[in-house]
Amino acid sequence: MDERRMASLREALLRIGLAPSRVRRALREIQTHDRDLFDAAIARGASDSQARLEADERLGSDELLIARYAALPELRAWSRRWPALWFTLMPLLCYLVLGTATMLILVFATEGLSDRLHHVELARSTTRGIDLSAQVLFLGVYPWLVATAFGVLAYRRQVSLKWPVVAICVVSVLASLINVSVVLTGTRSLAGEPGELVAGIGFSPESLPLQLLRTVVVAGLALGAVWLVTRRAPRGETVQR
Amino acid sequence: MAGIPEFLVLRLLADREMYGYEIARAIKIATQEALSLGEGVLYPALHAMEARGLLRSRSAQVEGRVRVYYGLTARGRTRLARLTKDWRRLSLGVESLLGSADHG
Repeated sequence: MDERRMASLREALLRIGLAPSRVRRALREIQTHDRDLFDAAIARGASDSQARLEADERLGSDELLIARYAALPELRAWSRRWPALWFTLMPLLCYLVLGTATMLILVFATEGLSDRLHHVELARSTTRGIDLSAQVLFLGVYPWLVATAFGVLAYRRQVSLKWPVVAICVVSVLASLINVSVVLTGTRSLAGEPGELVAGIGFSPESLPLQLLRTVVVAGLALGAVWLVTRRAPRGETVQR
Repeated sequence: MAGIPEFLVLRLLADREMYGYEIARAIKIATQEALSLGEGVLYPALHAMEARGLLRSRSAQVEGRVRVYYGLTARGRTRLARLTKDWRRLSLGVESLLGSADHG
C-alpha cells in the first residue's frame, strides 16, 4: 500500500470519527496484512505488479472498509460519540477544576510556608502585583487556555467547531462573572497579619460593562488562536503524531 | 449470512491465538473460499468484537513485523457456545427442509 493510499484511508477513518489510536492500529494491521499478501504472491512466483494486484484485490476496497468502520459506533472516539457533551461541558469542568486546584495549591503552600511568610515584609505594590497576577491567571489565562485547547482538539478530531465555539463563549462569560482575589498580606495595614493568604472567588454581576469587555477579550483571543491553528495545520494531520 | 464471520472468527480463535492474516487464511481454507469477502473488512469485525469484550489482543514483533494476536475471552467462549447451538439448530432445520423437498 503506498503512502498516498494510507494517508487517504487515515483521513477517511478519522473523518468518520474513529479514535486516532484506533486508526493508527487499524492502519498498521492492514499494512502488515497487505505485506503478507504481497510476500505470499511473490513466494508463489508472481511478478511484483501481479503480486500488487493480487494483494489489492484480496484486501478489498477502501470504501468497503470505511463503510464497515462507519457502521460501528462502538469504535468511535468518545469525543465523536457525544461531541456536544465533550466539547461544551468538558471545557467548563476543566476550567473549574483547574481554578480550584490552583487555589488549593496556593492555600496549602501558604499554610506550609506560614512560618517563613510571617517574617516577610511585602511592599503594598508587591501585594497588589500578586493579586493582579492571580486575576490575570484565573480570569484570563486559564479560560483562554482551556477554551483554546478544546477548540484546537475539536478541529484536529474533525468535530464541528460549533460546539467548542459555544464552549469558548460560555467559559469566557463564566470567567468574566467570577471575581478572584489573592492577597498575600505583607504589612499590618492590610487585611491580616503578614504572610496570610486571603483568597476569594465570587460572582460580581454589578460591573456589567467590564465583564462584557473581559468576555469579549477572552473569547476573542481563544477564537483567534483556534482560527490560527485552522489556518496553519490541515485537519487531522497532527493527530497522527 | 449475518453473524457468520463472527461465528467463524470465534470458532477459529477457540483453538489458538491468531493474527489477522492467519485468520483470513484459515477462513479461506475452512470455507473452501465460499466466503469471498475483502480481507480488509476482517479488521472492523475484529475490533468491534474486541470492543464488545469477546476478544482480547496483544501485539508481538515477529520477523520484523508487528502482529496483533487475537484470542477469545470468557465472554467470547460463551458467545461461541451460543452461536454454535443456534447454528446447529438452524442447520438441522434446513437439512430437514431439504430432505423433505428431495422426497416430495
